[in-house]
Amino acid sequence: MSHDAVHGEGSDPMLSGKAQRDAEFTSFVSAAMPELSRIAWFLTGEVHSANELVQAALVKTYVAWGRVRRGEEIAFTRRVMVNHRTDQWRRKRREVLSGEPRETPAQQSQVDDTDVIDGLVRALKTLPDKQRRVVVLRYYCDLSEKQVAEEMKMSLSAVKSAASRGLSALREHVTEVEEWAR
Amino acid sequence: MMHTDEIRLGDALHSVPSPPGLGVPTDDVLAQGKRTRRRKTAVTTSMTTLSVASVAAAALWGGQLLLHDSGAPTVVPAGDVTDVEEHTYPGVHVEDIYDMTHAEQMASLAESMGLEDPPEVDIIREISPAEANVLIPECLAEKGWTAEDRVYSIPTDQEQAFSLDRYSCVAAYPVIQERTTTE
Repeated sequence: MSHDAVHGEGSDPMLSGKAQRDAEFTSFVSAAMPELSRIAWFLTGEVHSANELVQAALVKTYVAWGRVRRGEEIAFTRRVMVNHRTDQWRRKRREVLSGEPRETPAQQSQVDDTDVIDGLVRALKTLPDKQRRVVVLRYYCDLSEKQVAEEMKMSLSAVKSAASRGLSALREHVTEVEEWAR
Repeated sequence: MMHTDEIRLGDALHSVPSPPGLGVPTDDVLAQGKRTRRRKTAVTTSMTTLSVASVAAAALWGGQLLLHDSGAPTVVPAGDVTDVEEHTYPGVHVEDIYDMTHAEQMASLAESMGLEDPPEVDIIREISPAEANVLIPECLAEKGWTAEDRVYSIPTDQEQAFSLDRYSCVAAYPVIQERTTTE
């Protein structure tokens, strides 16, 4: 099987095409949900919004499943999430610019039940949207600066700058997490 | 020093426990995925049954319309809509258009037209595929391009100019799906 293989090849002959597709997708979702949910949580800073974001991205992934390359399912869904989040941010900005009522602030999740979690995730949430996406992709998803630049269609220097500023803003909270983890 | 800080931030992000309630049941995702796919299939079907508005919207996006002798509009050069969609938008299926942001749509359109430096265009308003059937030809007509029986006969040396104008018209009037849904 080549690395470029897409889903549906080498399928179980006992299953119909749709059943095979659904089985593959279900298996992927079960395995990837924790990782994707955390990315969504860091991007949104709130559990409910994170769940909505990950569900929206996975639905799009399902629709595109036949064209998603094997081994790239998580990366594909992550890109959809980041793009979707960018859309949300743009829509929100348009609403603000057009004078429509500002969306009410998200309720602080009751499950963020430690100061440490509150501190880091809330600090992440206070970063400018693009800076936050860079930080999550760079430091949580472990993408290189070049990969982040390609994924976010930003220049390399802009990525470096955003990552550096994000790092500075989060530094004190990193220390808190480290002390908490000991 | 900076490198150490980067590692520390990465480690901190990974060590933060996930909050309860994070995650979506797989069955919910699958069910919504199936509903969305059925809806898209319905839209595609309406296109393949030659709904004039839908075909026009797709064609104005980048395809070329011709009329068969019977008068029914279809898209060339391939015999069915899907093939043309793939041909028209390299790597992009028309069914994905409605999943794209407007910027992504425009980037795909520019790529399919071979426009390396597409112009920045102010959006006039969002329109339905049915409105696209009227407004985008009007926009093109204002720029001097008129169709005869839905066919734009473009001299070869003016194709680039036509592409730029068509890009500008489509960019000014983003076509959205919601206003035509029959669900």
